[in-house]
Amino acid sequence: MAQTIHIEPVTRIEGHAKITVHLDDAGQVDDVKFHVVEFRGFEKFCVGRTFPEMPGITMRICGICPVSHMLASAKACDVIQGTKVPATAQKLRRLINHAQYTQSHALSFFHLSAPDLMLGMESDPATRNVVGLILANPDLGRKAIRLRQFGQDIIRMVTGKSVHPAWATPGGVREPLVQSQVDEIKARLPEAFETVEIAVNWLLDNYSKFEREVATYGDFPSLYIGLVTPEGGLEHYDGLLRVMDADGRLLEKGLANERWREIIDEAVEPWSYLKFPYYKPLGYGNGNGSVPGLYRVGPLARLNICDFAGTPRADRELRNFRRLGKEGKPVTSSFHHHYARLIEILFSLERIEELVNDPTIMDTHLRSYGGVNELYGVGIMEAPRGTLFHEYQVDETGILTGVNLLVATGNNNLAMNKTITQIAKAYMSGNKITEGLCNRVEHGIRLYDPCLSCSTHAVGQMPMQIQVFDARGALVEEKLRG
Amino acid sequence: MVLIIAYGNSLRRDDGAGLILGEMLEEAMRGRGLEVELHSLHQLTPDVALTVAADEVAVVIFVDTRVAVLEQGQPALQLAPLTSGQGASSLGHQLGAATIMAYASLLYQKCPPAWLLTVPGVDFDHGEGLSEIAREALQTLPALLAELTPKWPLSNG
Repeated sequence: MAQTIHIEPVTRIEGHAKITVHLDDAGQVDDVKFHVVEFRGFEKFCVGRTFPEMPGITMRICGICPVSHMLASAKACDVIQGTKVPATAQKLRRLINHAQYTQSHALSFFHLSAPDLMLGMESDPATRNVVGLILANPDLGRKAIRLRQFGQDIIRMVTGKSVHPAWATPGGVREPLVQSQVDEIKARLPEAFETVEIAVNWLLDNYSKFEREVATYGDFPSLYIGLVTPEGGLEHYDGLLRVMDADGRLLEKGLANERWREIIDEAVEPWSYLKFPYYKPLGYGNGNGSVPGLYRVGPLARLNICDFAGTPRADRELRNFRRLGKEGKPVTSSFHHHYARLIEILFSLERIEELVNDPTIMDTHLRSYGGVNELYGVGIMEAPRGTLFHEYQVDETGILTGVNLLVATGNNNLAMNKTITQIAKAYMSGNKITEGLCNRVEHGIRLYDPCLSCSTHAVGQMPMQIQVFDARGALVEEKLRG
Repeated sequence: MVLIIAYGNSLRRDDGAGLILGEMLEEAMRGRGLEVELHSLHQLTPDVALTVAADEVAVVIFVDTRVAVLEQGQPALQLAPLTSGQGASSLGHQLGAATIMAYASLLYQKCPPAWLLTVPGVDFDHGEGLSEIAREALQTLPALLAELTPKWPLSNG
């Protein structure tokens, strides 16, 4: 009897996402679908605005990575304006981007994933939460909060606000960094490094506990896409597009940003508002579920595609990370996103240290001015959760006539579906919906740290509704969680 | 000091009503001669616990939008005491106000009295501006405060 199981978070905006597990007639998992049922209407909302408004508008899409949207937008606007961004403005943009990586990755690892890692995925849900983690290790809990606060405070210092900083602008940025801010950042860096080192050591010491998770949480061959420096180094703000296959071969070594549509296309499925981007030269397949052009973006992909990090601590960890790959090939399990995130926090802290020690960081020439010199602009960033594309068309007066945003969560859509299918096949027995299964499927999604609901927040709890239907569509089991 | 933490997304219509209500409440509290600090946020994240746990914070008022569904009569502002607690897990990045209070209590041994003030919302589409229900509810703030003791929120209303 074929059955469908729904795992559905219920939030203020109806159904940010739901998960349906489709069983075959033998009661085994056949397929799992991750549905995004909220339409993201920001593109339409932006058409008709003037292009210089876009960095300020698009940052309001998200409360966790507003800096990514602001900077991707500013980069697209830089192209439209056609002027050169002053060197110090570029450095300041990089500074707050690294600060954002610090706060965002800290939130993902310490606050959202660590309860599962440290307390156990099958442990009592009454204690397997952040409060349980705090009770188990209050000192680490305090350090984790201060690490996230450090990133937030840099953003606030530089831009004047911690969220929605209308600071980057076409051609540069609005405000300089001052000596007292440089001094404060320098003073707080040692504690930030220490916190990440503690987390790295804990994770490496405990990796052996997660052998089954490594093998079942998104361990499959795929392509990897992201930005690299012109020299092939790890890059978060600006660079060339690189595509690597599952064997480590470079399909695109360094593609110019404006050529991105040559390699990425988007498929549409009737059951989700989120599109399904794929690597165009390899295609979407014939609809039987196997997608040759499936790729991953984000921390795992970035560490796979780069030749080196370019900073001492991150390079040391990157060498260790690469040992997780089989036979010298790319690291394939999405479970390793956790380690990759910690390495990227180290990388960001090292880059922050370099930037605040740069003698030109407090220069005050921060902006170039111009009008509409190009009618098309694309800005590509590495957001913490993956590659982010902003693409704008304007008329001669600078009014936006077309806006397209391809966000990291969209880029990972195919991979997220494949990951939770693998998890359900490994851990689901019959039609039993256990807390452990729910935790594991949820953890599988969280590995990609998707931005699903942060365009609004939710009041109170987010219960999970789980429903089982038989082949005739009759409800045979229901569970409400939370 | 009265700490007001207002949160929401001003590009999702009524979701931003809490931000407006936070500003109105700040002005009203100052009018009562109270020392007030307003933090306007997109959403609640763990580091907000550090703000709550500051020594100078005497009381915390979280200001948010709630979904006005199945409410009898005209949806209105709602004010209720808030206790610490742990919300259910989610796929998002945000925390609830009760969880923030739990963080402050467990990590910093600080648990100032806390309130949750909510404005009803019915329209969470993309865009700016508020629904009529949210707009009308906001106008009732003076009446709500008038029902409370003059010393609220420093003592129970």
